[in-house]
Formats: sequence, C-alpha cells, structure tokens
Amino acid sequence: MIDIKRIQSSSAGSTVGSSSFFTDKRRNGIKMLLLVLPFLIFIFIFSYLPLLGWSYAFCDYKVGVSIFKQHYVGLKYFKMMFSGVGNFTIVLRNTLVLSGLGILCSPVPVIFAIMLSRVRNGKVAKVIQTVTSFPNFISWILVYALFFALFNTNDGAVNILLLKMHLISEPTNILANADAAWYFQTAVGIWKGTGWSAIIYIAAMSGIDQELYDAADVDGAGSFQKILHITVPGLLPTYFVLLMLAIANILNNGFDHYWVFQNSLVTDRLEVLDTYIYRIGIQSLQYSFSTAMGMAKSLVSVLLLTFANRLSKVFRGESIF
Amino acid sequence: MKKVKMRVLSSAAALLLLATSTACNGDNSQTGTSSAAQASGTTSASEQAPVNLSIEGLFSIKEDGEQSDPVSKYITEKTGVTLNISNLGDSNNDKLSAQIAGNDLPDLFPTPATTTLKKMIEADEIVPLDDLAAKYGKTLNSDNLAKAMIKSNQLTSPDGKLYSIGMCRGTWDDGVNPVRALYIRWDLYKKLGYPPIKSLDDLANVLIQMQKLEPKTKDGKKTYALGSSVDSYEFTCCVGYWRTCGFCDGADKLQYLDIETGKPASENLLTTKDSLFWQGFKFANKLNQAGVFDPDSFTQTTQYADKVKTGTYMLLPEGWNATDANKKFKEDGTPEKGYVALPASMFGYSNYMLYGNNIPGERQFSIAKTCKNPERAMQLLDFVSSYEFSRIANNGLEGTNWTMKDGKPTPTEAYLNMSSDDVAKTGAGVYDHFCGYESGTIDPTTKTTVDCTKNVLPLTSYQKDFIQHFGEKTMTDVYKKNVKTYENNVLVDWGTLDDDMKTYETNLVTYMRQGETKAILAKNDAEFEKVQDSFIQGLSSYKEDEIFKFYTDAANNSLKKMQPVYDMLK
Amino acid sequence: MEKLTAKDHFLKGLNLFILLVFTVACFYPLYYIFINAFSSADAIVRGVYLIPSEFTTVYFNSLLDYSSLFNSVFISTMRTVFGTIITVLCSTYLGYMVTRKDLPFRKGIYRYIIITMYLGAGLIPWYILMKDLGFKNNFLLYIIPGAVNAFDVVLVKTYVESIPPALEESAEIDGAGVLTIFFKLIIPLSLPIVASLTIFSAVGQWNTWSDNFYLVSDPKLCTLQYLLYKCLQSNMSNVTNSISNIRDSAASNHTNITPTGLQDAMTVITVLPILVVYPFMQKYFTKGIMLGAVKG
Repeated sequence: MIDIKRIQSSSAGSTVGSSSFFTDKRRNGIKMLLLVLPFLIFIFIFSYLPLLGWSYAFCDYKVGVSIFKQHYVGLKYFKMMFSGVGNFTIVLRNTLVLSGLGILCSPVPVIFAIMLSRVRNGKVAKVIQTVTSFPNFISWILVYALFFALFNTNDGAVNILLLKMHLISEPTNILANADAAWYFQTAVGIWKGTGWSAIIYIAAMSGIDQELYDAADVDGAGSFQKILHITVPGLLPTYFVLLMLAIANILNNGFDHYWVFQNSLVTDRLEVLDTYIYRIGIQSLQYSFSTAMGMAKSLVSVLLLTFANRLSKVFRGESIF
Repeated sequence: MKKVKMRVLSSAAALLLLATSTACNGDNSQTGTSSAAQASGTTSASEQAPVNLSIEGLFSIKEDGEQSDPVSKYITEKTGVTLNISNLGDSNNDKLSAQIAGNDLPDLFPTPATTTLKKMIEADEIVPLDDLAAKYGKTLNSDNLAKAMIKSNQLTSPDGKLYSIGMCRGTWDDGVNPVRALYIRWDLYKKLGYPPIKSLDDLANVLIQMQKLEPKTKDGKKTYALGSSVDSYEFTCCVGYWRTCGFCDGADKLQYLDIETGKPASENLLTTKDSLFWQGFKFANKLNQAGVFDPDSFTQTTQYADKVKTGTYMLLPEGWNATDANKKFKEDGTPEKGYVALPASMFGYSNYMLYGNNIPGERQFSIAKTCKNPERAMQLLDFVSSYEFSRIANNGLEGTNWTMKDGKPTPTEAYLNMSSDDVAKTGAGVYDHFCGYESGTIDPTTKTTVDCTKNVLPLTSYQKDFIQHFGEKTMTDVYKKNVKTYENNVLVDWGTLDDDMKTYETNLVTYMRQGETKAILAKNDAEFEKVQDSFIQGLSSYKEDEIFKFYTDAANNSLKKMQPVYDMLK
Repeated sequence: MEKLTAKDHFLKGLNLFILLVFTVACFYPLYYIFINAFSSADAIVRGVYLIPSEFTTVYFNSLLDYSSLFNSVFISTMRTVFGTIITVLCSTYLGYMVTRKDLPFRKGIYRYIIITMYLGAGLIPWYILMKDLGFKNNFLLYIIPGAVNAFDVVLVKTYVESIPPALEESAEIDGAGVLTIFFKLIIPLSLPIVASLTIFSAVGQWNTWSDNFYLVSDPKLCTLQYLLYKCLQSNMSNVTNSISNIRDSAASNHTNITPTGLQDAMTVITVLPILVVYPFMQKYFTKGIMLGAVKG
C-alpha cells in the first residue's frame, strides 16, 4: 500500500525556512547518516588510524621519534623481500597454490551443510553438527602433535594399521613427503574448517522460504531437484560473498597452520608468504620490514577484492561490494 | 525477548562501570620514594626507604607481581626494594619490542639486540650506567670477573658507554656433565669390551653395535643410534664432536672458534669437503645407511625430548638430555644403564670445551629512562651480583636447604629429595637467571660451585667404571687428562649483517637444512658425494662466501677489540 | 509426499555414512586429547589411544595452584558475555543499516567497512593506539575495540537482503522508526545468523589472550586463557631451568607435568564451556537443518 500523502509532501519540498535544500528525503538521509556516524568514527579510530604506522615502512624506524624526523629510506624494505635468491618466487607459488586449492574446495562446507539437511533425525543432525566443529578448537600446535602421533614412522597409528593390513610393506612418512604436501595440507584444512564454516550455510538455509519447497512438492519435484533449484540458489549469495573475501585473502594463508607442518623436506612446498616474512623478520628484528610486507599484502588484497567484484558484475550481473 | 535484553543491558552497564573503576585503580605504578640516603652509595641497605621496582625477564615464578617466597623477602630486607616481576619467558621479543616502541618499559628489562639498543639510545629511552656502576657498584667493582663483564659490555656497545649489566656470568658446566659433548651408553660400551674409538667413523661402528645389543626400549619401542628433532641437525650431528675437539660454535654454525687461540676456522666450513661440518654429516649418513638413524628426526618436535628420556638413542649430544635419561633409568629400576660423555683424549684431541665461560653474562639487564629510581635499580643489580646471592638464588637461604659445613655449603638431605613444588616454595631457583654467577662457577671464598647441589650425589656404577677405565680419580680428571685448554674464555662479537644480506642469510639457513637432510638420507657413499657436490655448487647464489667472510672478519676483529678484557682475565 | 524408492534409501544411507565417517574423524582427535589430559606423562610418551592410562588429574591440579584462577574465570566469562553482546549488536545493526536503500553513500560506507578486513599495520601501532586511548590495564580493552566486526557485517547484510522487503516496507508505513524495525523485525527474523555470530564472537572472546598479554599486567584483570598460557610458559621454563642447572638433585628434574599433558588439559578447559553453551545457540541456527530441509 502506498501512502499518497507521503509522496505529495516529499515532492512539494520542505516548507520550513526559505531553503528547499532539506527535502524530506534529504532530511531522512542525514538522519540515517547520523545513525551510523558513531560507528564510522569508531571504525576510523580502530582500523584506519593505526595505518599511520605504514609510514614506518619507508623509514629506518627510530623508536620514540616522531614520523617527521624519521630517516626516509624509500623502498628499501620492500626490496628486501625479493633480494634473497629465487626464494620469493617459490614462496609466492606455494602461497598461491595452497590458497587456490583452498578456494577450489570452498564448496565443501556448502555440500556438507546440504548433506546435513538431508539427515532425517534431528538429534543425530545436531550431534553431527556439534562434533564436526570440534577440530576448529584444537590449536595448530596440538594438531601437529596429533598428526605426528598418527603418521610417524615408528609407532604412528596409521602406519601400524596399514602395515597390519598388508597395504604397505614399509612405513610411510607423509609428513615429510614433499609431493603430497599440498594435497595433504588442503585435506588438513578441510578437516579443521568444514564443520565450523558450515555453520554460516546452515544459518543461511533457514532464510530460504519454506513456501518454495512446498510449492516444489506440489509440482512433484524430487529431492535432488529441490536441492538444485531451491537450496543451492538460496545459498549462492552467501557463498559468493565468502568466495570473494577468500579471493582477496589469497596471500594470507594463515601462519600457524603452515609453520607447524614445516620441516626441511617439505619447505619447498610449504613455505608461504606469512612464514617467510616471519623468518626474515626474526633474522633482522626489523619492524620496518614486517610493516612494509603487511602494507604490500593489504594493498594486494584490496586490489584483488576490487577485481573479484568486477568479475562478479560481469558474470553474475551484480557486484557484491 | 526485548525486555529481557534491556534488563541484561542495563545491569551489564552497571557491572561494567564497576569493573572498570576497580580495574583502573589496579594499574601498578611505581611509588618510588627517594631518600637522602641514596646520595651516597655506602648507606647500609636496611636504612634505605622502601621502593618498588618493576622488572621483566626469565624468572621461575608461577604468578606475576610481587613475590612472597623467602628469597624475595630477603631481597626486600637487604635492599629495601620490592620487585614487581613480569615473567617474559625465554623468548618473547614481541612484547619487549612493543614496549620499546611505546616507551612503556618496566624499570629493569632484558637488554635487546645491538641494532635495537642503538635506536633506544638515540631515542633516550635507556640509562647509561657508567657513572651509576662506578658509584653504586660495590660488589661489581670488587670482583675481577664482574669488572671484565663491564669492560666487555662497554666495548661491544654502540657508543662505548655501558648500558647493560650481565647476569649469570661464568659457567654452568660442572666438569662432570659438559653441556654439549658426545654422550654414549657407557654400560653398553663396557659390554662390547671397550672397542677403541679414535674417530667419528669408529664411533659410528660402535654405536651400530650398541644398538644391536639393545634393540628395544623398556616400552618395546625401537632404539636408534642417533636421532634429532626438526631442523636441529647440526646440534645433533656436529656440535657434540666440535666441543670435544676444542671448538666453540657460533654464527649459525657457519663458523667456529678454537678455544685455545680464539681464532676462527680459516677454511670455509661448507665448501671444504672434509671440514668438521661435513664430518658430522658423514657420520650421521653412515648411521642412516646402517638403518639406525631415526627416520622421524625430520618431523618430530617435542617428541624428541620424550624419546631421549626413555633411552631411545645410543648417542646424545646434549648434557641435560643425558641427565634426564639417566634419571629415568634409575627410576625404572635399571640404575646400571647410563650415559657418559667421551673425553677428548680418546680421539687424541688436545683441547676440550669442558667449561663454556660466559664472561659478559648470559642475561643482560638494562635500566629504562622512565625509572624513577635508577640508583636503587643499580644498587639492586649490584646486590644480586655477588657470589653469595647467586648461591641463595640457586639454592635458597642459608639454613633452609643448605648449611655451611667446614666452610663448604652443603645441601640437606631433605633438599636433595624435595619435589619441584616444595623447592619453589623455599624460593630456590626463582632468581637463578637474575643473579651474578651461573650455577657452575667456582666461588673463590668457598672454592665450591655456586650451586651447592652439583656433584653431590654418589657416583653411579657406570661413572665409576668410566673413571676406572681411564685410570683416574675423578670424572673431571678424566676430561682434563692430556688436555691443554678446557675452558672457553673466547669473547666474540659477531655483529649483524647489513639489511641487504640478511635475506640471503635467512635463505642460506633454509638451504643448509635442506642440504643436511639430503646428506643424511643419501643411500650410499657415492650419492653422499653427489649431494655434497651439488650443495657446494649451489652455495654461490646464496652469497655464502661473503657471509662467511663477514663472520670470519668479525671473529678476528673481536680478538683485537676485546684484548683489554683478555688482559684483565690473565 | 513423494514415494521413496530403493535408490532414495540407498542415497540417504550413503549420505549418512559419509557424514558419520567425517564425524568420527572429527571426534577422535578431541577424544584423544581428552584422554591424554588425564594420563600420566609416562603414559603419554608410550602412547594413549583408547582410554586414559595411569589416570591422573595432575595437569588440572597444577592450575589450582594459581590463586587468581577463579578470578580469571570470572573475567573471561564477563568478557565473553559483554563482548559478545556488544559485538553482535553493533555488527548486526551496522549490517542492517547498510542494507537500507535510504542510507546515503551506502555503497561507499560498505566498502569502507569491508576493506578494514584487509588493512593492518601490525603490532606496534595497535599497541601504541591502545595505550594512548587508555586501554592499558582496563577491562574495556576486552570488549570495546572489537565492537564492530567487518566479517559479521558482511554476513548480516547478505542475510538481511534475503528477507522480503515487503515486511520492512509495511512496518515503515505503520510508522515504525529505524530502531524499532531493527529490534522488532530484523533481529527476530535474523535469529539464525545472529546465533551464528554469537557463537563466533563468544568463542573468539573466550580464546583471546594476546590483548591481555600485551596490555594488561594487573592480575585482577587476567583472563583464563592468559593464565593457561602463563602456566604453560612457567612449566616450560621449569624444564629449561633444570636444563641450565643440571642439578643432580632429585628435585627439579623429576616432574610429572609435561608441556604436552598440560596443553591437552588446556584444550579441555577451553573447549568444555563452549560445548556447554553450544546447544543453546544451536537451536537457533539449526532451524536450517530442520525447516529449510528438503523433506522426504
């Protein structure tokens, strides 16, 4: 129902004072802005103000001295990253591959959520949902200890089992296997994150209109068709948003995950940007270097986000951000 | 739903205000009261007004803040200072960096690396200690070793002034269990009939046979001749041997120093095929070829220490691992099993790093500019620097855990059997990283070690056998037999590479680990040669020769620069 | 209602089977940690896989030695409760506002918020800022800086956009103001996502210790996680202590508390409260499993 009075009054403009600048619409707009202004200021203080620290990426950081008196060194700290032999290329490759594999597997939580919705017994479904989010709570250090206990060559449970079943003749050492490293780590990531990420999709499924399903039932649709034509499209907006955020995050793999699984036999595959920056950082104990790297990564992420957003506009007809 | 929410919110707000107000009052600020008595450093401590000082460092405490154990009370009684302690743990540069950046340091803090120190000096965040030490350093100025520490710190500081006082000077070696050496299972060695060991090759053969004698541990797990934890391959394969040969290591193991002359190695360790570096890995490779090198060495972290305790390895390169394992053997009812370090005389070497003397001190402390009572801080540093306090820091107050018997501090029976919790209650060990002398340093007044529990327990059967085998009276005698130099007094300032080179060094270290792994895992001698060759070939792209030259020059320059300190120690 | 064919039954069975296998794979590790937390140090080294061996509560007991234990539980609970309420409210509000078409510069504001997820200048600027704002040794440090969570805003916006706009319009026509719509309409309709955000926030609050570590030295404001961290540190330095002293005395070298067992116990302490709270929140977002589910 449309309120005629409202339309008439807004098009007539305000009658208070001589200026017709403050139309009802504008007044409403200002009111809206004021309603979010405190939060925008808050965000400015806590997220944008610290960025002044980026200036230290360009100086030989001196403690306690104001930014204007610092000794400017230009792009020296940015170049440091690239100076060490060909390692940067390898590190970048690893980072992109591992992130890429992660993005490739991003539908897994969605599929998991849908599979969970097919379980008839509510209690069982709830238990499954709770238990599958357990791995999220185990710190990476303990995760490694666990995997070592399972996969080590001397008395790892997995090796003992495989040997007993005569599937292998010698114990495998998957933790030291460079060729399997990428896939193994992706599997570890899936194990750790699926249950937790699925929460978002489970919540999103509640937002799908029940009437759509009922209508489909009336039309005689099978369960698979219902999933394909109702559930999946209902989850797509959430999925794409998260996908875009993940693309922007390509350079940030997660330090802890890859740090604990590194050893000299798999370094070539598992040294990612975050661990590499950390390694150089410890050597030099230089704040400027890590700031420069953080800044570079931030800029790349924003660029990637813009790029992914454009792509979304082209392919899906709508931009998300 | 909304009403409940509103109620919750309002009570929340009330609680918040309450919490905040109590919290804001909880900020620990110094309540320094100065007293005229501070003007002269000779006023008796008990006359001084009480003062609170905040300190960060490695302390064996459970909870931060003011401590209530007997030793802490003793400090307050004698100096008037109550310490508010924040336990940083052994490696927490992050917090310190943040505090330095924010000029938010506690009164006393661990001195950071030279590059950071330089910046702190320029920003006027740190107090130069020369005058304070001269005025209030009663103990420090009466003791030659302490004076050497001060001189050494001055020589290595960015501008020649004194900025740090070094704690834990001296050694923790006790002449019986060197910190790093070649520890083997002496009981099994005896069973084999003491086959001669004149080289690493001989040692490898002996270890292989030892493993055959005891193929399983008490829990039924497989034993190995040698094993390592992730990325510590040099520790495992090289360092024990280097110490036995009379070299101390440094600078990412790219260089070592002869403890007799203080000179660095003249040949590039990595590019010379039969250098001590490669000897160590050939040794490990031989063990691996025989199937007695733990394949999990390349992936295990904390599990290594666990395996060491259960006697999984025949050779241990580190003293405390050996002590742990020996202890466990005793607890498990097999006291005849045990590890003993091999003496240099077996190999025919004339120097042995038996005592690693840390002249500048293992832990350096500085005073922040924001400290309101720098004189009291210096007095405190001076007070804890004495031999007397060092003993108290390690063992507790006299009369509690130990007493003087015939001029020699002797631990009580109760103390020797105490649990670690009870020991903590007596205050022993709280300040053992914040006292002048390390546990193994010899106190000139009592002629015993600072820590009176060293070498107090009776010799074990394998230790007795060891002494007998070499025909000496004590274990230390065996280690010193036919050896010219056994104390490492080498002072070296390795310096820091230029920023451009640092990335190369980081990558070089990674490359070394990879090469070491390949070397250990080589399937036969021919493959080992190939690995060596390709490794050496690849070194040039890491600018290894430049880095090696840098450290060699640093070592040679240190010899000259630190000469005044050497002269003091003569 | 459609008829269930044999194929349907098989697929359903397969579905359940795959889910159960994954569930076991997720359950066992936590169970392993749990049983290890109650086993002696020696048993842990030998390997504990099915049931606790040499049952002991020594790791948990070592925590009781800390006099500030109960206070830290209180502080952690307070920060979790208040921090979660504040964060969820603020982020949901902002997420809703960004969906309102009458908000000027809506797109720009949204981008302004999102980009913060990728911007970071590191530890030291954060430290200096918190210090200058007066958050040192202040309980508010735990709950204020995290009040707006960009990721939550994204989730809320995406979810709210799926609510039929007719509902909002009719409420406006009835004369409802922004806040009224927010509290009476949006939140009740968005309970699934609000519940999810509550869980995320609560878990995050419960597990955080770094703000405590860097900025809070007052033991009365110590959180449980930080206490656990300290316990682990002091245990590890006990180990190094006996290392550097090589005391031959029975005392410091013999310890029945290893870092591994302690870490296992810490995980148990961390996870247990969350497991208690979880079912309450679960019923809100598992509506997706129940209602939105494909029947048949």
